[in-house]
Amino acid sequence: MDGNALSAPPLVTARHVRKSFATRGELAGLFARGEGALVHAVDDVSFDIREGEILGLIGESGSGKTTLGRLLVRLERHDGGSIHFQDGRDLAALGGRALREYYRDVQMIFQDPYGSINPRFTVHDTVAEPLSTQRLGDASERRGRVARALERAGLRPPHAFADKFPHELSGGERQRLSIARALVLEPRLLIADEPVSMLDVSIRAGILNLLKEQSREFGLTILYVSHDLSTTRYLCDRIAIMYRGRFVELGEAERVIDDAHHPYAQALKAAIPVPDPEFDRPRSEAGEDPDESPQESAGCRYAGTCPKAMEVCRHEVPELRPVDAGHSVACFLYHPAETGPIRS
Amino acid sequence: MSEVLLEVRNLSVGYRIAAGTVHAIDEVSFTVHEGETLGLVGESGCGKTTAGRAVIKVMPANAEITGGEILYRGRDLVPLSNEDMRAIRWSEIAVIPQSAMNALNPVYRVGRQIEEVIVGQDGASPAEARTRAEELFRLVKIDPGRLAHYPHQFSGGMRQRALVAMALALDPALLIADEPTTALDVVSQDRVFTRVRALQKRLGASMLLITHDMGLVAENCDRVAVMYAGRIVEYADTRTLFGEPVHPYTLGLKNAFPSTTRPKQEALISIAGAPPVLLEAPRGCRFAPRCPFASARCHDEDPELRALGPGHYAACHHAGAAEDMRAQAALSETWTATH
Repeated sequence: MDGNALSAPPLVTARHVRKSFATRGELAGLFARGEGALVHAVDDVSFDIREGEILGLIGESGSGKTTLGRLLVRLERHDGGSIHFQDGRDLAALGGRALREYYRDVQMIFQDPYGSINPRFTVHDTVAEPLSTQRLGDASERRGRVARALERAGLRPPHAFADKFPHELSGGERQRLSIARALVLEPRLLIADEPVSMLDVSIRAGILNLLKEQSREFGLTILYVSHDLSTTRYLCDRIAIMYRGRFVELGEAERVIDDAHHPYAQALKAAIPVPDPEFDRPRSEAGEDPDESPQESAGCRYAGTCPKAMEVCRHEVPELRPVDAGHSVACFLYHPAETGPIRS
Repeated sequence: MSEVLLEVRNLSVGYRIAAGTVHAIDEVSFTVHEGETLGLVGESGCGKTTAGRAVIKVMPANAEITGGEILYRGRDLVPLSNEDMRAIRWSEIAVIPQSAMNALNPVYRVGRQIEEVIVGQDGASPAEARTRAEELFRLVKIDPGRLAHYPHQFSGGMRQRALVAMALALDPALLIADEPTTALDVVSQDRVFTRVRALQKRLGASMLLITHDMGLVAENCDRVAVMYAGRIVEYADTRTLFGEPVHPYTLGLKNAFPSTTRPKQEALISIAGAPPVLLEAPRGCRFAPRCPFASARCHDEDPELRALGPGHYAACHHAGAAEDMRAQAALSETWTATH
């Protein structure tokens, strides 16, 4: 990224974003009316997405990473904090026509290239659909834009694919089709939620390389949501690690993975088998079993599991603070809490 | 080397579908020695799961063993009746399945399901079965009080460990683990699998580990068979397979994984194209259409699995040029040229 990109305002500015879902108790929910407990899927998260970068969002199931991605494309509405697009558009205020226009700038691709494509649409019709929804161009202009999008997504030559149906495509080609559909409006931001997790390894690399190319050649900004550290490290410029609705670490990709500071980030990294029989992976001895739900704590969400938890961790929420240039961590190990009365 | 526990010889399995028979595995051979872990690695549709299921003969109704032998302690399992197989499952060969959610019956308490296995096979009394189930739960680090719970009350990792407990219930000599942890979160995956390995070693059991994860293979297997389109394309001890791979498919796979321990790669290897549909036997090498090193001969003539060194086999006409292929396969240009 050059200096210009850094000095430009971020493409997305998110501040103290919150999103909760009401859950119902297992049995009680069946009989009782009204709402059960609130689950804070995203809990006070602040970050920028810089223009032209690929930002990775790593988390396990239930971390809130998918919800956060869905908030940015307004498939969900945040219920606290603010999300602004570069030109000042407030996501909370978008509706009707303004929302439709927002989708010219922001598009999303999903994990399942089988479930997210209409099997009765040809490749051409699939990619042309956003153009007709947006009422853009006439038939011949649309054909041109569709061909460009297919080309860009690596479905070459486009005319060989245009009349095919999804079932005639391989898994990798299908994911390329959903990318072509997302790119046809020439968006500025692409949210990619686990785009390769259902694909085979030999095909996965092609999709990752394609996403990288979109960023390097076309300046597309990407939010890559994944549970996988290795593909995220490979693809992304910066990485945020999420745990139970909060960011625990954020920074330059290699630094966050190679020099993970937060105990959760360290545990994640230590859990990945390394495809090299000569490499002796240091195993983490970290605390409790993650399968037993740790006790809720008023402080750090990881305190119940963390082998290094201190008293303060159970009562106060650590904020994301720099430990290094371009590398922030939310952990009291690195930022001792200000002295003061401990809230209990 | 220790004694051979399982020897699969020229095993072929077909699935009958409306359009004909899909030859899911075609003359596959491998051996598992006492106490060792053999990795069966490959991508979806390569036949690795079919091979694992064929060994215990738990297959979908439209599947059929069309040839070959499955020698378990020297006895061929292929002609055995269902009745005879039942005596072997669990007590000799046990499976740790892929998805714990589907493998446990949701309407029975977990303890009952484990105890049933013990009573049914071992003729143990209910009280003995209960004691054994409690022991097993302690072994996989679950509170024995949890035996009284239903599967939905367990987390994903606990369900998977309950299945591990069940697989170990009768102290089998061979564990077939088919992607035993892929349904779990990263940290739980590691916990559960580390536990499985520790128990395997303690019991001296052998393991057939079926996976697509080269990391899991590198860390846990003594030997590896790489499968592609129903065939074994390379077979070697783990160090040799990672250190001196020969088959172009193995070379591609090895370079397709982003590393977390080395500096960032500029571009990852992506193998263009997709595996063939196995309705009719493809002509020539099955990997040839995707292979950057394929020559006319490869498209024409099916390569045999040939010995290259002690315990190292590969099915490639160009195995002699392995060193050269290894160097070229590390470059992404090599693979894009075949597009």
